[in-house]
Amino acid sequence: MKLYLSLEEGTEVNMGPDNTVLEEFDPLRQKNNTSLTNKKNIHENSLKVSNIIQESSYTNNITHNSNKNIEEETDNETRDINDTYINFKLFIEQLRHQQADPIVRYTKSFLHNFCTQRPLWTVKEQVKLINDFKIFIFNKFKIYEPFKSLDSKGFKNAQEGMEKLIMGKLYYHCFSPLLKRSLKIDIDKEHRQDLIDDIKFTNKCKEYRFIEIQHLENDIEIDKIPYMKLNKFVELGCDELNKINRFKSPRDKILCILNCCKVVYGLLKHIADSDTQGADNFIPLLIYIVLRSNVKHLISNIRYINRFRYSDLNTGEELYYLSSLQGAIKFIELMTSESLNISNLTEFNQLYNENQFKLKEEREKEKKKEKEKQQELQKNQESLSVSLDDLTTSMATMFSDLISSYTSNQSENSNTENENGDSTPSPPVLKQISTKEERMEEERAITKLIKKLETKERQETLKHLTSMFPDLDKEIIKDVCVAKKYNIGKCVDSLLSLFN
Amino acid sequence: MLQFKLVLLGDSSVGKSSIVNRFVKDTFDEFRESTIGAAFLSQSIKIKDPKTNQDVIIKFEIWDTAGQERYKSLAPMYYRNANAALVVYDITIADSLLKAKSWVNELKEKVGNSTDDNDNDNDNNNNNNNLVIHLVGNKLDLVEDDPEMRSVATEDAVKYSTDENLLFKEVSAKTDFNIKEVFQTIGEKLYEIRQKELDNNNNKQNKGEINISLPRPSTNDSTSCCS
Repeated sequence: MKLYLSLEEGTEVNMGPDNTVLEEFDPLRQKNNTSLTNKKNIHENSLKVSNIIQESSYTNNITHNSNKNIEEETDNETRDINDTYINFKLFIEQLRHQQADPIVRYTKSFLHNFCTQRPLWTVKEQVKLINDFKIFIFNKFKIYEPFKSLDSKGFKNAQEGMEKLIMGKLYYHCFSPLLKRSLKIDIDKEHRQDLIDDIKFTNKCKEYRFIEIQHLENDIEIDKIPYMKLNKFVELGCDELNKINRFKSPRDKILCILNCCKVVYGLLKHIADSDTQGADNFIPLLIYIVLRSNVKHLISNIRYINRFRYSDLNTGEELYYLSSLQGAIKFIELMTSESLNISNLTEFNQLYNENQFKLKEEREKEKKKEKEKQQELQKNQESLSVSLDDLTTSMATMFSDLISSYTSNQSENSNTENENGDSTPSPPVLKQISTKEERMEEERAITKLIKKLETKERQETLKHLTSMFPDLDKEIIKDVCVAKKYNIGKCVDSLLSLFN
Repeated sequence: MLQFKLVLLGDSSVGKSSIVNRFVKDTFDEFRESTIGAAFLSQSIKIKDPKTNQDVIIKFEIWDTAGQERYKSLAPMYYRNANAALVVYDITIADSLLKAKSWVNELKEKVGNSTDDNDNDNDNNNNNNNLVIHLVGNKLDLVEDDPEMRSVATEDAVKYSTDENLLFKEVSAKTDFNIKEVFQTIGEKLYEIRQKELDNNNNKQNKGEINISLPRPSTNDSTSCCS
């Protein structure tokens, strides 16, 4: 899967405003796992089940990866969660089973209709359509092998797999922050409200970002934590929560929340005995982490989970921690100085005002940056858009090639399978592509294209910077660029400080 | 196995978590999954069906809440769809009973009134008129050592519970006195209610459902997406 690796390495390539967001939400950016997810197949390609099937188990180890740094005790429990974690790969293999063909067709048909019948459904419609389909297809599981003969645990796994499969595909049609960019249409009121509430919440967090844990809880237990330790755990908790934007399926997003809560307990275990590890101490810490985490689109994420998580699959525990997070969010939304534990009001007000001042400064800076970005964009737009189109087209062809070779081979395979009585699922797609050389050729071409684009963009960045700082030596500017990885914002900052 | 949601309410110092810890601790439970932390615990018990005299397994999912006054507004997130509530006070602190009473009032007022639900997401129109509320006075051990410490008379709490139609017991999480009994009583009560519900088999209504659908997904869709 060289192609995806090279795309990942090339993330500094500015893929244009439309793609940066998508990239940001693409789990593959974090995991180099073999898979055929794609940054480009938002519309037509999103309908291809045979394609999505390739989205292999990149999240299978999220619980595993995440808590590495915490003490052993928590680590053991992490593994326990992992045991109950869904096996997506297994589900995909089951789908490839010849007798599961009707399930694949139903799913394709649903995805196709969902994406084409209307540009954008309202929230209520989306919830109803997706839920109805789940009920429908889960009933079909009871008719077709290999799902028919699964035990209850296996059946649940298949349900989880199906939810992950369809939500992965419909993510760009259902997750509010992505709608406008992926569908290129005006979005409806309710979806827009999610975005508005996201911004409101982010601003509220910023308004109170200076508060300390003591403001949320004056209990002696929390006071006992050494500051460094607290900070380390809080940081970890924030990291876990921030991963929520990397995943598309509701269940994977919930796991990020659970992992964050696990970190909180990791901290509590150090400071409290078993009788004080309840909600009294858990909730303030969770609120503190939410406040500090700066998770983008947290409100949209929670609403997405609530809308598209199949209610029968939720365990009590998942619901509990989801509710706790919603509680924490609600508390922050309604927070005033009166809801906090403040020993010295004058001091608090001073901190508050200082923060307000800083916020104002930051906003102005941001505005300025935004302006610069806009100018930059306008300059580069013409040349870039042409080459980007090339890239898109060539990638799209590659995908359709993959698909056609996959589907044709699939039916052949089924036949031979029958004759041999061999029911092992057909091997992954890549082996079935016409010739290896062709594939290599395409990959090379695309890598080359990316390199070309990258070089071009870097040259332009350099040109832009040299014109901005005519008095500085060109070599110095170049060095700064390399050091700052051609990130315009950072380059400008460093150059400004140099200049002064 | 029957599963019920039980929410734990009470001031932060009354020992809510200790009661649950005592109930869950040291008891093997084959139905318990690994847990993330102590704020959510599950524990199953056996009760006898009064008619058939057969064992019935009841699994409690216990939702702890933060007792501090400043987190009071979070409570509705937790007691939504609860089947039972354990409202705890400390028999050595008179104020904690007042707080418990305010929880009882809030539960009676809010739970079961599903139209009052402000959250637009994921509304379960579960009718919760049958919420079982059990009032518990904790820290009986302190009073046994020193009767002077008692600030809430048993008779007062009994009278209040009878008036409000609550279950009531004084317990000690420390000495494990009456802890199992509390959950046993709740379990039996819940089972009784569930049996009644099954008998009545009340008709459900789908309120506020919208009527849209895509063409039935089909296996021979001409508009194949691969074209």
